[in-house]
Amino acid sequence: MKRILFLITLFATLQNAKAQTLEQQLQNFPLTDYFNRPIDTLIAHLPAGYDSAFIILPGKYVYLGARLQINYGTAYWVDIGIINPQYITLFRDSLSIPCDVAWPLSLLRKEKVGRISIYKDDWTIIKEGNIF
Amino acid sequence: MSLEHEMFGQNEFVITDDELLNRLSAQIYLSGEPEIFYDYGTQLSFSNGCTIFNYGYYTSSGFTITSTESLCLYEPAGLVYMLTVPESGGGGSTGGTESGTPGSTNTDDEECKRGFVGVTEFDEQGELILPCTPNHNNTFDSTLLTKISQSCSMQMDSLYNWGMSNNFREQSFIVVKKGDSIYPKNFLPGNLSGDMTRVNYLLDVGETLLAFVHTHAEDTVRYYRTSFSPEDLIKFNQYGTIKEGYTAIIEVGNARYALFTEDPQLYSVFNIARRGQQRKLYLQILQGLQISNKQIATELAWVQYLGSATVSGIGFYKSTAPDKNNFIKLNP
Repeated sequence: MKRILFLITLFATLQNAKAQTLEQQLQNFPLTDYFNRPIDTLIAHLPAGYDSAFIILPGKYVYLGARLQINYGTAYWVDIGIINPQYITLFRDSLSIPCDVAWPLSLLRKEKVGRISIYKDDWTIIKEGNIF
Repeated sequence: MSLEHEMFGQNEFVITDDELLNRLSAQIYLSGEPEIFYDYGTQLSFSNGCTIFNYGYYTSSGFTITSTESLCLYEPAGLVYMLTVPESGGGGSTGGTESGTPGSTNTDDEECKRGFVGVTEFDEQGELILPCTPNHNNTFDSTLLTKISQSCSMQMDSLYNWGMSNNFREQSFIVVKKGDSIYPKNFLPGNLSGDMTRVNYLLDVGETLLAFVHTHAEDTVRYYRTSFSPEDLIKFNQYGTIKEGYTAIIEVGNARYALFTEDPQLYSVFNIARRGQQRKLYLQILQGLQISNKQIATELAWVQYLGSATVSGIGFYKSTAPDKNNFIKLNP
């Protein structure tokens, strides 16, 4: 019986998600659930439809890594900042070292999320939060 | 006289012998021989106020000068020309000294359209000819920028000094207008994580947001008084695409930089074409410059990224100490 109830609930949730537009899904995305958790976990729960090519960028300082940008085409994008990096080397020695070499995606995905901003179109923030 | 020493790690030199400057300009007029070679980003300052500084960037049409302040122009071939360009643009001088006579102005539209303001020829009297009145959109009234900067000049200096003393790189505040008053408010200290600039945009009744201001209080080699970061662009864009006159100012101690929204519609179009890729594109430019002086590197990267304000809708300005309220436009 419990299993049936669970499936019904799951089905209803999925149906509800389908009915929502992407913008609504992003606006309703529970950012706080993912702070202090690996970026991989966040990616696994992001609404579907994002580009497979992620963009790795430096933080506020151009030598200091790193943050991850995930685009939904050209309409929306998610900007993810990390906290207490354990896997990547924080500083790159030279600007000539590309971001994705200085801070490999495979390692960056393991870092914990410290900040998430979700943007629409021309840099309009539709949702953001951080643990700083 | 020649500088025969290579100075690794040094980018700025002050030369106190003005005679060198005079002989240098004479040498160029007479023979066109290169007199001084220096790396991109190197700055030579003379005690008479003239600064030799390759203050521009390379394009397919050649070396484009991006500043209208008193300077000495540098050509890719190694020739160094000197002239004093008044802030309003349009005149050159013969000797690189402040007492030089105005040169003639070329009104060649094609040159102007290219935004080329370098020195390419001399008139019959041997005076330098500016190819055109520098295409720096001088018709735009940037008085507001000066007013904004003046309204919080002391605060910017104070926050910068406080940040330097307390190891807080980024302090922020906003500048608002209410009635006839322009004033700063909502001061915030930096974030130790260094990951973001915190800005409090909260307004009281009757206030209009004019600008957000922050500091880069750091002068280490890596972050030597750098201009806006890619992240600052995000902050700016929140209002830069919708409010004409909206301004971002950054205080870096020896200079101030400003992004000034001249045409929000143009800027919106500019952004749409780069949607989702803006920070990446800026970083690609910065990484390609290979300039050791990071202040200059970031400055030139912004000039290249924004291009002409008639296209991007954004004016990129700089003021230098001691009068950091006297801005000059860097992008064409």
